[in-house]
Formats: sequence, C-alpha cells, structure tokens
Amino acid sequence: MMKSFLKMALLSTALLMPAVAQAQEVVTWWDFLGGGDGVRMKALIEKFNAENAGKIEIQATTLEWGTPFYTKVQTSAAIGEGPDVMTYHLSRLPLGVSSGALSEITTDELTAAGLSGADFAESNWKAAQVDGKQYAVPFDIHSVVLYYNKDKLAAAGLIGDNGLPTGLDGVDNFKAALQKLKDGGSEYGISIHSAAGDSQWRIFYSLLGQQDGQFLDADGNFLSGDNLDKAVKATTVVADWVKDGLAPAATEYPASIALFTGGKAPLHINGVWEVPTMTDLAAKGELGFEWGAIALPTFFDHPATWADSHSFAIPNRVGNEVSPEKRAAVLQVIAWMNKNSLAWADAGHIPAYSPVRDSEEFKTKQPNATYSILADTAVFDPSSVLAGVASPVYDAAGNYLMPAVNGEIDPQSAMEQMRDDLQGQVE
Amino acid sequence: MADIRLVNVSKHFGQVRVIENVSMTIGSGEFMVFLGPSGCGKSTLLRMIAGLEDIDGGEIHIGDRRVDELPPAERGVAMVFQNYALYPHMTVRENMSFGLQNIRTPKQEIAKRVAAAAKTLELEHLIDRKPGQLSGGQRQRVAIGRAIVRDPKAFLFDEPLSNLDAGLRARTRIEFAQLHQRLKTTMIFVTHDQIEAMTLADRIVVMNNRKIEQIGTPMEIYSRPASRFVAAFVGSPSMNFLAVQQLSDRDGKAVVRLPDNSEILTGIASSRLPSDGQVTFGIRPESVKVSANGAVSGKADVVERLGERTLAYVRLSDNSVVIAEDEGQSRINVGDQVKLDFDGASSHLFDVRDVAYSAG
Amino acid sequence: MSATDTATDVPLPARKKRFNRNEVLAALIFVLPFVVVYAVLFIYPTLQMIWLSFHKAPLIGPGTFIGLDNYAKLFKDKLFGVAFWNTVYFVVLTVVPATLTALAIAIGVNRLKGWMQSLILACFFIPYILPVSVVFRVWGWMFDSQFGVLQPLIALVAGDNVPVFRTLPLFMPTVAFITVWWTIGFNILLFIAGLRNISPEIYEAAALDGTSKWRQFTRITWPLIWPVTVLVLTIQLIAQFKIFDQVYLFGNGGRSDATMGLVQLIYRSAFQKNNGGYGATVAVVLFLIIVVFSVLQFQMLRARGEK
Repeated sequence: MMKSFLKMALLSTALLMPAVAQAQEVVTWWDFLGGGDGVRMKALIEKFNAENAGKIEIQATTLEWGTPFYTKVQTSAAIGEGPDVMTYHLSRLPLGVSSGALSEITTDELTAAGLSGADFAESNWKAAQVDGKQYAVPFDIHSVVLYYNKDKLAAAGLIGDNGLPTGLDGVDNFKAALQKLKDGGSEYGISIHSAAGDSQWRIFYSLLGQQDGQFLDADGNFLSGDNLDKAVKATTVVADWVKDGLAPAATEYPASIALFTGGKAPLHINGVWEVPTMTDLAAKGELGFEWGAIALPTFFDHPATWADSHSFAIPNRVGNEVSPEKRAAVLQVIAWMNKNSLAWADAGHIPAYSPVRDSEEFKTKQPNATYSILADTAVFDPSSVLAGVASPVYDAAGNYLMPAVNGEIDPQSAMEQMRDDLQGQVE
Repeated sequence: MADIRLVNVSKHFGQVRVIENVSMTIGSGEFMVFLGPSGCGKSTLLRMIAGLEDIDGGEIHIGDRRVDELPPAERGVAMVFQNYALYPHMTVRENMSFGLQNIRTPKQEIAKRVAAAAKTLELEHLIDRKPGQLSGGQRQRVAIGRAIVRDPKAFLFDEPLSNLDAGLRARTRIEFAQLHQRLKTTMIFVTHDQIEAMTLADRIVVMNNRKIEQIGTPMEIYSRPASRFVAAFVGSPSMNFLAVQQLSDRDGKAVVRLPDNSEILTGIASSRLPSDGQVTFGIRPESVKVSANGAVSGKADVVERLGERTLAYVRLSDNSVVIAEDEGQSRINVGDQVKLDFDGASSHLFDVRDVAYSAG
Repeated sequence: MSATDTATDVPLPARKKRFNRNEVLAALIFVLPFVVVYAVLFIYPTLQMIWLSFHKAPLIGPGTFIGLDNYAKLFKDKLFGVAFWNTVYFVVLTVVPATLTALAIAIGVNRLKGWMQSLILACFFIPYILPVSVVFRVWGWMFDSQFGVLQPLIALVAGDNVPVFRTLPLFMPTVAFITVWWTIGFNILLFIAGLRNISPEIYEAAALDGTSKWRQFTRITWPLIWPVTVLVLTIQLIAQFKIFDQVYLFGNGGRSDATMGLVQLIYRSAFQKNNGGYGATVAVVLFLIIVVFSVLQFQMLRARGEK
C-alpha cells in the first residue's frame, strides 16, 4: 500500500517536472501604492501579465505605505520569505542596504534585461547605489507640487497671460497672495497636511534646498553652521502661514485634500501622486472648478523641490535563494515596467527612464509637463541610514518640524532640538 | 405577633395567572403551612406576603396595617429562604446583625439580640465563621437566627427543610415545632412535604393550580378532604380510588358497587349525594384490611413490609388495584390470593364536580 | 450554595499512596502538549530575548556581546523615561476608570430585562470586536480638526476647533478615553457574569433586612463582585501596560517622542532602527515591570478581599 503510494508520488513528480521547468515564472510583487497611483500600477501589472502570458506572471500585493511596509520587508528578507521584487524609495536605500534587506543587482543581469545606467539621469542612477554597488533600478521621480484652483486664482488676479499662476514667487509675495485669496472669501489661502512630519518635511526640504541649505553635510553633521539659520527660515515660512490663519493648523492628510477639492482652500501643496485624484474627480465632474498643478514657487534664491524616487529592488532571501531563471524574470519585469512607464506618468510621476521622459508623448502630457522642470531642480533626501521614508529623520520631522509649523514650538528651538536629536542618533 | 389577612389576592405574570382570588386569615400566633405540589402558587403567595412579589389585585393586612403597598422591610416579617440566602462574605454574627444595623439599632442591643439568638440556636461556637465553613444544618440555623433577631410580627419559611438530608430534616422539623412553641409568633411555612405539614401545622392551606383547595387543621384535612386532590395529596400511601358502578341506598346510607361487583356500605348519608349517582369511591389503605373474612378478593401484586405494618397492592378481578394494610408479621406473599375487608364507615365519595362527601 | 458539609470533623480515610505510575503517565500526556507549546512559543523566545538584550545586535542575525551596556544606556535614555511615564500615565488613565465604568454599566445593564438587556449589552460590546484600525479611523474622523463631527461640540467649549491628537496635553486622555470605549465591553461582560453569580435570594434577603440601595451596593454587591473586580483590574493593568496600537496610530506623524509608550520604544528600536539588542532590553524591562506590578496588585487586592 505504502509502496504503491510512493511509486505513484514519484511517477507524478517525474511527469510534472518538465512541465514545471517550462511553466511560467511567477513573480511575487509587493508595493505600497495604495492611492490613486496604485490603480495605475495595477493596470500596468495587468498589461504585463497579458503580454507575457505563459511566460511570466506577476502576483502583486499592496501593503501599507511607510514604516509598516519597510519593517515587513526587512523582517521577511531576514528569513527568506520576502517577495521577488518590490517597490522601494531611493531615499530609504542606505538604511535598507545597511540592514541587509536588499540584494545587489549586477551589471550583467541589467545588461541581459536590456537596461543600462545610461538610460537614466546620472544623479538618479547613482542614488540607487551604495558603495558603488547597484541595489535598485529607478522607476520614477516624484515630488511635491502646488495644486491650484484656477477659478479662485483668476478671481484674485493671480493667473498670468499664459494661463498659469503668477506672482507667487518670494516669501512675502506668496504670503500676500494667500492673504488676497483668503480675503477673497476662501476659508484658507492654502491647504497643507500640517498634522504630520512627512508632508512638512517635503515642503521644508524644498525651501531649504532653495537656499542651498544642507540638512546633512559631508562630514556627517546635521544642520551645521548657517544651515541651521536656513532651516529656521524655511520653517518660519510655513509657520507664519499657520499663525496668520492662511493655512490650517494640525490638519490630517485626507482633510487637507478635502479642503482643496471642496473649494475651501484655492492652493494645496501635496505630492504628484495626488494628480490622479484630481484627474478622476474632474473627469467625474465632482471637482466644481478648473484645477492645475505647477512646480513649487521659488521662495528663496532659486527653484528647488524635494524629490524622491520609486524604484524597484530585489530583497535578500536568506536561506531561500531564488533560481537564476526567476531572477532573470524579475529583471525582465523591471525593464518592462520602465519601458512602459509613460502610463505611470498618468499617476503624476515623472518617469525615470530617459527614453520615455524624452518622448514626445510625455513632453505633451499635462499637468506633468508643467512641472517637469522639477526633475532638474530636484533635491533628494540626504543619503544616510538616518534619512529616507520612515526613517529617524521623518520621525524627527514629526517631533520638531510639525509642532514648529503649528506654533507649538518656536522654529529656532525646534531646529536646534531636531539637530541635536539626529546628531545624537549618529553611531 | 399579628394576624395576617389576605383578601381576594391575585397575581399574574403576563398572561399567566399564578394566584387567583385567594382569601384567608392566619391567626395571631398560628403556625400555618402552605402545602401543595410545585408550581401550585404557594411560594408566590408567601413571597407576596413578604413583599418580594407585587400583587395585582386584592389586599394584604398584617395586624392592623394594610401592607401590600409597603416595601418588604416595613412589613415586619422575617423570611427564611429555601437556600438560606446568607450573605456569603459575612460571618454568622454579621449575617445576623446586618438587618439590625440597617435600621440603626444601637450596637449593644444588636450584640444582645445576636448573642441570645446564637444561644438559642446553639450557634455560639460558629459565630465568627462564614457560611462557606458551615454545614447545611448550621446554615439553616443561621438563617433562622437572622430572622429571630429582628423580632418580627411573623416568620415566613420557604421550604426551609428541602435542602437537608432525611435524618437532619426530621430532627429540624422537631426544632421548628419547638421554636414555634417558644416564640409563639405567627409563622407561615411553605412545603410540598405533607409529613412536614401534618406534623408542624396548626392549620394547613392545601393549594393546587393557583387556588386554595382546602384550609383546615391537619386532622380535618386528613379525615375530611374537601376534594379528590386533597384526598390524594395528603396521606402516604395515597388514598385508593375506585370507580363506582352503581350507587344504592341501605337505611339512608349509600352503598357502592365496585367494578368487581362487590358492594360496600359507606357511612355517608344518601340524601347528601347528587341525584345522577356518578361518584368515585375513595378509601385510605389503613381502612382496607387483609382479612380471611373479607368480602372482596384479589391477587397480591406487590408486598411492602414496613415493619409495624405491611402494605399489599392487590389486583381485583377487574384489574383495578387497591392498596391494603396487613399486620407487621403478615404472611402474604406476592401472587397470593387475598381477601380484603373495606371499612366503609371511613370511606369518601367524590362527585363529578369534585365535591367530596365524608362519613359522619 | 450547596449543602456540602464542610464543617464535619470526620477525617478523610488516609490514602495509601498519592500517585501511581499510570496516573503520572496520563497526567504527563495531558500536560505535554501545553508544556511543549508554552516552552517553544513563550519560554524559549523569552530566554532568547533576555540573551539578546546583552548584545549589540540587529533585529535579526548575530551581534556582539556587550554585557549590561544596553541596560546602562537604557537608564540614561531620555526617551525611555518618557516612554515609561507615558505608559504609567496611560495605565492610570485607563485601568481604574475602565473598571469602575464597566461595573457601573454592568449594574445598569443587569437591571434591564429581556431583549432590552441584550440590545444595550450589544451596544456596549460591539466596539470590543472592532479591529484597532477601524477604531482609529472612526475616532480619527470624529475628532478630525477640520471636518470631525465632534468639532462643533469642542468649539462650543474651547471656542475653536481643537486638533486633539496634535495637542499634547489632550493626546493621552483622549486615547485613554477611546481605549476605554473600545475595550469596556469585555469588562462589562465579566462583571455581568459576576453579578449574575450573586443569588437573587441574597438581594431579597437584603430587601427584607431593610437595606438601602447604597448599603446594598457597598455591603453586598461590591464585596461579592470583588473577585471579579480584581480579575478585571489585573487583566486591564497587563493590557494597558502593553499599550501600543492606538497610541502609535493616533500619534503617527506627530510628536511620537512625546507620546510614545514602552512597546512603541521597543518597536522603534528593534524594527525601525534595526537595533534588536536595545529593543530586547526595553522589552525585558517592560516584562519585569508588568510581572512586578500585576503580581503586587493581584496579591494586594486579593488580600484585601480576603479580610
């Protein structure tokens, strides 16, 4: 009885083996794209699966953005139970590599998949490296932009002849514009997500970059020298809006968007990833006004906007290595995604893959084209294990920057505390 | 001490009537027993007197006060519950003192009364124990003590003996009798045990189906039951009931013909009986003797030897069964043919409206 | 109340032998699954955690032995102090209020009858079955500083909308209130079970004894429900010392250094900063705190009850 059962098992295995070898590779995929851009990504994945039917199939899971995603990635990598490929913030890369969560991608593998560093902006490509080794392939550049309610701005005389907002550059000009908008009957001049450190960090880092301020200098010191003063200035800009009632205090993320889409605030600073939200609302006719998005105004010396990159990375799989065939399939997925990233631009992002970015289709895509300047003026998070999404720097932004913006702590003291806290965490 | 008067008392739970128009008077100092099967309403009646159940109609008077609107504590009654309902976290002393503390009795007075009750009930050595450390009988004495210290106008006992084992129950029964003799307080005692009722009561209220069947002294209840139910419920073994084939008259007394065609002369005047002649014959086993001269014969199915007497379950020719009595040293065996002598003078007749007729 | 005769002085017949071999074997077979699971899932990880606390180590993987350095660091760590006092504050805000409120509600619910009782009990119990994420969303929306339905009420008192989760003095009390709302159903259930265990005859006896409502509560209900109260207090104490989810969710993105509890410090050290050794150290200390507090509390309360 037992014997025949064994025989049968062996036989069936033998029969199945070649079939398995020829069967399609299943690529397990994790991402953190839960918003409007997640819908676009799912469409891309479906398209991939359709085109590669029988060869490669992506099985995707979307997890909670931020700390939950990265802790799960890290713990699962350590026991070899992670996905085959995942989305990853380039800002987070140093921390990811230092905790051993990421697997190096060799030049041979890239070449085999038809990818090369030359296809990406150099700074972007380098940001996917640690100690000269490649750990990720950039997918997009994303940033924060200024969303505007064209009807309200026009009423306040803030729309120029070219149909775009005007008169917003400079700290005082901008504030005056906010006042004008508020006086014009809006509840707030501008809506910002003021209840959390991450959103405030993006604005702050842009304003710091516009002054050529360095958050972390080459010697590993936080806010050294006059960088502290620049940081205080950057913080004060936003804190003043809140103090004067031009921007809402301690407002949560969904509420900050609702203030804009509901017409209560004619301006809104948020990531490009909310472009789909606006597009969809406008398409359904639920927005009630004409909207647009431009790069952040220049408050200080020159344009600069915080930016980060979504990239693709392969987690380490300790004790559970994948086959070379599977890795090849994963690289093919990454290459395909980049080559088809024009669709990803629908999600508001700027494709990292230069051939797509330079294409005519992208150059005429709105509103991306209006703010595509920020690809050139992007300032990326400091390259440090303490920086990046869900990092100590983000926590510190919540602990010091957020309360400073909301008037709970004086900006000077907030920046000093932030500096000391982060410096104290340097090992 | 006070009398208790119930006037047309009624009670229902939703649609279900549990007490219907009950009236009675319990004399001052009387030991009254409410007797009946479970569900007959006797406990509900007691709880209505105590104030633990509202009444939906009628009046209750204790002494010269109408009490049916008063909360339990103001009715001046004390109650001993079936499960004693002692406060489990309090010592014997605290259990007995609690009610007195509630009405702000001076400490010395409380101590005096508790000590007296403890002495009476032989609880002195247990006074600092908690109920969990006491036996069933001891708990019961504590429950009585808790009632005594309040010096109530009346005691209400709700099946207080039912949780005791047989030996203890018999002993405690005697203690209850003694307690009543000593205190001479009005007491109402609810039980389904007819022996408790017979031995303790001055008067018994027999209840069935939410109604009073009969109120009377134990001997009245026993010898002149007012209904077939009372006749059957009181007395052990139960009264024999036999269908009457034909009713006739001999010298003014009724003669019944039983299903096996034997005829028995009763002590009941024919003139009192209903004209339709439809009656059931009832006779207690002690009035049916096994005798060589007996007029009725049958076969002994079961023989119970109780020591001082023997009970024989005799099957008559028509298959009806009669319980008969024989002397302690009876020689009859199961299967024996026996002759029975019916003492018609102490028999009973019940008509179709359940009116009972007893001799004399 | 059973009629068991515990007062008899008759000694039990002396047993010849306390155990026989078969009984021991059977007992072993019955306890073995639990012992194995307990050892594998509790004892072993606990020992590992203690061992890890003597190392400078990442969350996963080997580290270097550094003796008691982590502990020395811990007692100098300002954040540990904050997390400790926040945790204690939260325990103070929740444990006793949750217990007393649950008792009060249970007494109220217990007086209701039939379907009304079931309905009210369900109302109080439903929050307990909600996952923390739902609780977070529901209250997050209700308290939202811009659109929260509670803000008109708050504005009535405070004069303006108040972002309660971004106002430090309000943070812990609000989260504590939400926690009590969320978890009280279970305590109510325990109390109702306890109250139902008190024989109605005892209350009838009390009624005949002329007990006032207040004395009935203080002298009868409260002492008789005390064992359940001790149980609820202890469960609450342990649960609330482990506070994490609500504080993390409501505080996320905000001043987490000022609002974090001890478990959040463990999470941040071990998971966010990949410092497994230090995280383990905080965990060991929290473990000891809970053991000491709960044993102390349980003993003290029980002793009082036994008086």
